[in-house]
Amino acid sequence: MKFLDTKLSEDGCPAELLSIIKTVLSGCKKVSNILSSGDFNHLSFEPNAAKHDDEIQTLSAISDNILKNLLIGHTHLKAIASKQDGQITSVNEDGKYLLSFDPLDGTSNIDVNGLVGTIFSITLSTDWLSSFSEKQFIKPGELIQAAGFVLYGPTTSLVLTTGKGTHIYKLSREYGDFVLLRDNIVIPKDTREFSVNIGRQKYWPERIKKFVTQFIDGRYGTGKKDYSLRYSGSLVGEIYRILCRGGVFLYPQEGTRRHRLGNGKLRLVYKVMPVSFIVEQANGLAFADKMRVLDILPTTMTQRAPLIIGSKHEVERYVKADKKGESNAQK
Amino acid sequence: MTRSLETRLEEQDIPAELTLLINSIMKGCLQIASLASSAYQEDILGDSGITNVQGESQKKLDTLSNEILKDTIINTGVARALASEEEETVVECDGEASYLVCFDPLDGSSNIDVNGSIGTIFSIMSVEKGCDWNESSFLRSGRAIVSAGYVLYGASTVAAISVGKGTDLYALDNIEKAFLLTNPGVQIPTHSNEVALNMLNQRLWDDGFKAYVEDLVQGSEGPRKIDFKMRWFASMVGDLHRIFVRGGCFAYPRLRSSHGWRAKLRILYEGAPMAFLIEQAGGSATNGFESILDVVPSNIHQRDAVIVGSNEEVAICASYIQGLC
Repeated sequence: MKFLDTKLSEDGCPAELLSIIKTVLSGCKKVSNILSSGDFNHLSFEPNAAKHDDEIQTLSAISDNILKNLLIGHTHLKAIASKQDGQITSVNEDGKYLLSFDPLDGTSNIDVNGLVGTIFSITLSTDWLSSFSEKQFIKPGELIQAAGFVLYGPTTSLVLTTGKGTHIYKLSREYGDFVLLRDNIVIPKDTREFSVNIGRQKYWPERIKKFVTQFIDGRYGTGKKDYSLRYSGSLVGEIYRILCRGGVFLYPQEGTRRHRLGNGKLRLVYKVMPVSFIVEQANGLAFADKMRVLDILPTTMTQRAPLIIGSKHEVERYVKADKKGESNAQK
Repeated sequence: MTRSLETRLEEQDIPAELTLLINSIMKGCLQIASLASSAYQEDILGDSGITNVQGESQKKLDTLSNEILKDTIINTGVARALASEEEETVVECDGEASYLVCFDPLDGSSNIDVNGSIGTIFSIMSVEKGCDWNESSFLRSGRAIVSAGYVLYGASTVAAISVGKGTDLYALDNIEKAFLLTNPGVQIPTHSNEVALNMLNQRLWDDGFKAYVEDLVQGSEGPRKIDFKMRWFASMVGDLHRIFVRGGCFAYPRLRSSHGWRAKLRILYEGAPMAFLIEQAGGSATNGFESILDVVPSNIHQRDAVIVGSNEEVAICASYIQGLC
């Protein structure tokens, strides 16, 4: 049995970074406890209770508070950014690292006891930028020092990378700590599992519709095999499944007759970049339509990005088809 | 004051033996919940070869859940016989008892190794005390059900139970190890814009169902005039629990195959119990042509199409299947 600390030390993770990761995870443990213990002081099982009752906090607000309270005292953090309020919080002007997080991904799943999770990523701080500036967080995913997410399902799983492969841990209730389950995850290059919200196809450009049709056509389509579908409405749930047994997840650009094509739904800095870093560390691929996600330089913290992510060959097929569609359109 | 499952069942004025049976099944589910939340601890301690062990431990959780429920039910002394999705044939329990129990010990087992939603489904029918008994005693329509329930093991553990007096939702207080009543007499919203179906099967659908989905997908610009959201957890309990909380429709229609029409969900372990719970909550369930609760299975493992959820949407879907739309 190997604890998280041991594995990270083996991977040569700097002590300051390790300490930040451990702090984030103590917050996640608390969220996990609230959920798994059925803590009626924090949870409401009545649908939409939070919407109607000001006294009741949403679980994402609870998670956000728990994480912020733990992180704002951390010496090695210069600033943190949370998706919850979109605010940058200055921590310590001399801190070496920056942390951005989404306290609770999959919020539409909370009241139905579906999959939810916490996503985070850590980068090096920039000396000449103030700890209050948004600019310090604006950098390509390629520069991520550590990224991970905790998935609160029947068990609590942690997926973590410090740039030396992606490893999966499980929360041991007995030890109150994360223990290594599988190291150096390799996502199979091919897959039979596909996840996309097909219900939204009327918002998609023609080339996306065409691409998705091949999954529906199954063995009679260009993929020449039958696929099965999943769509849980939780990015962390989908990515965890892809890491365990391969798969491809798509949330494309969307538009309508009246509205021009937008960048889909997912937040680039808080969600798309961390999971892309994790998946590429596990031999998978992640593209924001035509561009590799980790090459993108964000322009704002709230920016959204389309995403196709997962098994290498499927993503490559999308990118190639995309380029073909493009050159056909130019003719 | 929050009521426990035991208190709630007492309030509902049902035979003591039935109360005992339901309480015992739920005790079994409590054990499954604790196993499910620590499914991998032994393997982690067992060190190396985790990847291989995972496949085995997946089987283990299925098998263990089945054994737990089987033992629990037999030990109550009030079950005449039981039928499990995991058992080839029915299992005789107590000759003098008057209840038959059907259950799916672990629904959504393809989700185990990906930490997704899994669940347990059960239903109880009554028979005359001391009457002759054989496998065909189970082959009755869902109208014979006196109680049904499910447990969903997710981030938290929640449950739905009905004894024919409405459907109640519960959540597990894992410190007190007790199921607490959260939504007594839950009512499913009559209409909703959330549908759960596997779009990738569309090649195999009948024309009616195909037309139904085509119109759904057009959303506000199509004949239905509203936009629909789609979800597919690949766990019936997970998808159905969502419907109990916020309405919607779950559809697993018949699929074309080289041997004619086939269906996926089993009537005794999945279709009928869920149909009972949903009708008790003001929703409905059909196979496209008749109510699931009216279907009499011809063998204990028989499958059928299942469309279940908010009344309005289920009715619309059925009329498409019957070629009326």
